[in-house]
Amino acid sequence: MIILAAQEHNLSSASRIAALALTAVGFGVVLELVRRRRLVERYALLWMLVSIALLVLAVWNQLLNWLTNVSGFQVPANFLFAAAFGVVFFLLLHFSVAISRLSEETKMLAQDVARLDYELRKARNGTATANGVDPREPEAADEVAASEADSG
Amino acid sequence: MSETATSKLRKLAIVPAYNEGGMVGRVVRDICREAPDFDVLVVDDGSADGTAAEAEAEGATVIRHPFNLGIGGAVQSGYKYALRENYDVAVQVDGDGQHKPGYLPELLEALHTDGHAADMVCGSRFRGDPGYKVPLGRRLGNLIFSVVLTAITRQRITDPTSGFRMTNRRGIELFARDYPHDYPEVEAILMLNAHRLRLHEVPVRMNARGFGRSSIDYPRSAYYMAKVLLAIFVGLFRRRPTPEAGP
Repeated sequence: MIILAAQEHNLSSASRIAALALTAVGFGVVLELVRRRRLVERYALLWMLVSIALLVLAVWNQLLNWLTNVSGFQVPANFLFAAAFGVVFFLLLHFSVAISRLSEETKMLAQDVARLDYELRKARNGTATANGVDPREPEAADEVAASEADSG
Repeated sequence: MSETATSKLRKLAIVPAYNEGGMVGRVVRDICREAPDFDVLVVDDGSADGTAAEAEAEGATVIRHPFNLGIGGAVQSGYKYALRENYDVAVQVDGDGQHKPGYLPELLEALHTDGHAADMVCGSRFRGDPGYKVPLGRRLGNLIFSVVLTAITRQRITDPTSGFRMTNRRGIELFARDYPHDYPEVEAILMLNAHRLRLHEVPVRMNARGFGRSSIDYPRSAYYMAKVLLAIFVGLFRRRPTPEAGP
């Protein structure tokens, strides 16, 4: 096994240390973001999984070599690049899906806020039916709403 | 349907407006003058100017989005309102003054004409004189959509990007539940088609846009074409683009 490993490409100890350090920093950043509530646990776990995968491959050279051979790459670095690209690609796709869902939800919320705003004004005026609005009456309430909207 | 029958219907003009201060008031006024039996709803799509106040001063009902959602979100807000308030007929009239409210009686007539009764009537610039010089790029884009939509719907559609549209209760229910996001006009026609709602075109003239702020300028037109063509293509593989109108 040792002989086999020696015949294959191994990451130098320097690059292993670099990978370890990078992973550690990545972990730290993710944990700090969670602590500050800037990142929800769900996505934190995702990034931590990615970090752990990188860490394992950096430390466990045989695994990296085996995966490289199995997947038909000549050099472990190429395997790493390809794998990393694939992972990042799927993450981005996942985020695009999440953003699409969020924008749909945001649209519906905004429409509902607009509806509630309208119904509130109508209830306060009592008379704000279609084409029956007296714009001088609801002005005060409108101005408050408008300034709130502006500052928001 | 006779004049008296249509006059009993509850009719709403939906006016999407984004920073149309100086213009939207005139649009509301024109609608009230040309089609007095239509209630006017202005959907202020997060304007930073006096759009809402101006519309309200002219007697329109105003719904205000907390921020800009784009034309699709604004129009859908209008259809949701029409559904809640039990309107029988809704018509979209752009807040920038492009659409002439003088055509509303004609559109309404076409919506209820016996023989080819339609669920939606579109005002088309390309069944006669458009009324203004339509830029070549827009003409070309329109032609591409027109060819594609005519092939899919097996019905001649000359102006698929026209937003000057009137629909009945079925259309209101459909669009209140689902309406495309940006550049929605072409996809909306496909939705109608998928739900077996009938479309009819009426020749209209339009004004050149009131301000230079066309919703589609050159950098965006490529995105516009690609986005809508993608939507059309994907739509072909959907059995039902939207859930059937529920209770």
